[in-house]
Amino acid sequence: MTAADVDCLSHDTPPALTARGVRVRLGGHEILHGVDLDSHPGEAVAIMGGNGSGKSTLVRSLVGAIPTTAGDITVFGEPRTRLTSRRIGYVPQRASAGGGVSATAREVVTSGLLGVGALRTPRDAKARALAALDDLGVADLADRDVTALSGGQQQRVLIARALVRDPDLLILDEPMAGVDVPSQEALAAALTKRRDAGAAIIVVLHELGALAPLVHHAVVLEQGCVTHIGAPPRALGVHALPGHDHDHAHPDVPEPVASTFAWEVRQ
Amino acid sequence: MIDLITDPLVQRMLLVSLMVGATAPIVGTYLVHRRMSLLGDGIGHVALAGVAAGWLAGSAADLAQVDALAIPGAIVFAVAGAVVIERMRARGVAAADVIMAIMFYGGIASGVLLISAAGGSNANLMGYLFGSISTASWTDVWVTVGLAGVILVIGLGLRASLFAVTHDQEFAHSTGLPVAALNMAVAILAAITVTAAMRVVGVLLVSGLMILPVAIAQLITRSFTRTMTIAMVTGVVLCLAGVGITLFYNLQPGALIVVLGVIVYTVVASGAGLRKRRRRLRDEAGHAGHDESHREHQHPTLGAPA
Repeated sequence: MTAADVDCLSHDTPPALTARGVRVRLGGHEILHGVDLDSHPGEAVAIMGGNGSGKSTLVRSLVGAIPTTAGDITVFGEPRTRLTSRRIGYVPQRASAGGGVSATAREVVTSGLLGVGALRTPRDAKARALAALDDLGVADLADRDVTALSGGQQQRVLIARALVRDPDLLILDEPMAGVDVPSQEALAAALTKRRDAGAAIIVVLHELGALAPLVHHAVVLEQGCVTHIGAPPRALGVHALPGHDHDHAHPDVPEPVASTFAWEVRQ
Repeated sequence: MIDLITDPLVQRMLLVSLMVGATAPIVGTYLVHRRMSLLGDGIGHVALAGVAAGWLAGSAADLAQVDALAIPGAIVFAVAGAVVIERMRARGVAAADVIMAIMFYGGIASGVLLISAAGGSNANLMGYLFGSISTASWTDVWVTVGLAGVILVIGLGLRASLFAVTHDQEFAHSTGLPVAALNMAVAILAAITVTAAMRVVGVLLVSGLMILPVAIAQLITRSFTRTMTIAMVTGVVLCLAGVGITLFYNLQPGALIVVLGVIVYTVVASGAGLRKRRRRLRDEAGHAGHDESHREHQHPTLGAPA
């Protein structure tokens, strides 16, 4: 794919999510200084940027986990309220989950079936949780303590918890952090299937990695401001190095070097 | 034995301990999950000021039974304390732990001062500090039934939602669950549990009854729901055993229940440790056997050197 192939501005369908001028203040400091974002059904947007750029704060404000101080967020054309949460599946960073009492993978996934007007789990919760775990290839871990699972397995359970809601908009915060390669491939396959089925995806990423083929366009944040919207950074030169922070605008990618030539040929 | 069971005092003691034993671990499970195991202890300190304030109000109103308002006072103070603590936690107040320390020790100190102002003595407070189940009246029983009912209906009825908010608050927000209300429900349930359990174990030991059964259950199961169920059964067994033993031996029931809990925890933890070690040894032995058979298997195929 080249930058010319990407056209994020013309869409036949109404947006899944729009954010306009979103500002967030935490602990007396403004973290986001008026961020815009658009997400459309059947598309995946990557939110990229270095540590402290405001990526996680942005997605947490999009799902209502932290309050915004200014700006508008609409979900499928309606202002975001608790009611619009029904259409959202959220995968927070793995470190935010868990408590002092152990819980099984099935119990964790079942909690994804709750929401507005659903304070108790439905009758078929057990079967639906198992099916969601099965989709991620971890049905055999249903009765295992989630804290005893590997990073990749835990991440699959958290994604199953979001997918069990059958969401039209999927928002993921660093889903690939600390995840083994087989799990990365399983997650990429599950997300691609959802996107192809028409779901909108917003994913916070440090680097594109296994999700590179999934992402349509990227929004790069730097110190709480959007510095680039458009083509995802191409995996060339320093940008292809593991751990590279995409915290700057990317249209001016460096010339390909020998080590990444084969990658470019594959594209 | 039959005489004992038919004795109304014994019936009251067993009824109250049955309800408290079953309900305290419900809230305890949520508190342990949220890593706020000592919240009950703090609320207990505040509740003591409520007991003394109720006592003072009863004495000012010249009530026949001077401590008639002690439990209502404890409920009001405990709920108010729980609401303040939860609001500070939710807002992420930086000085929350210092403010909580001021509340807790202010609570216990003002309790001592208020009770003496009401013409009572510190000895009157001892029943509330360490429990006084042997003085439980039928009114106490009905109050406990009411409080236990609230805990059972909310604590078990909303188990899925309360698990969701105590497990992952950020995800709970994203689903549209009323997170603030559910968090407040956990805090208020903790306050109700403290006042209900005050009769049995006293405010100083109430956290023990909320937390120990959960700690024991966690040694046996890795499921949240099963942890709560096993903790409830453990709580009932500990309370009935503790109160039952004090019918025959002159021991303090509240302290006995908590010490029994510590003993059960130690025994189960040792058993779990032994089982784990035995499994590891078996696995190692299995590996060694496998290596041995592997070598034996390989030898015939090696053939003689040329």
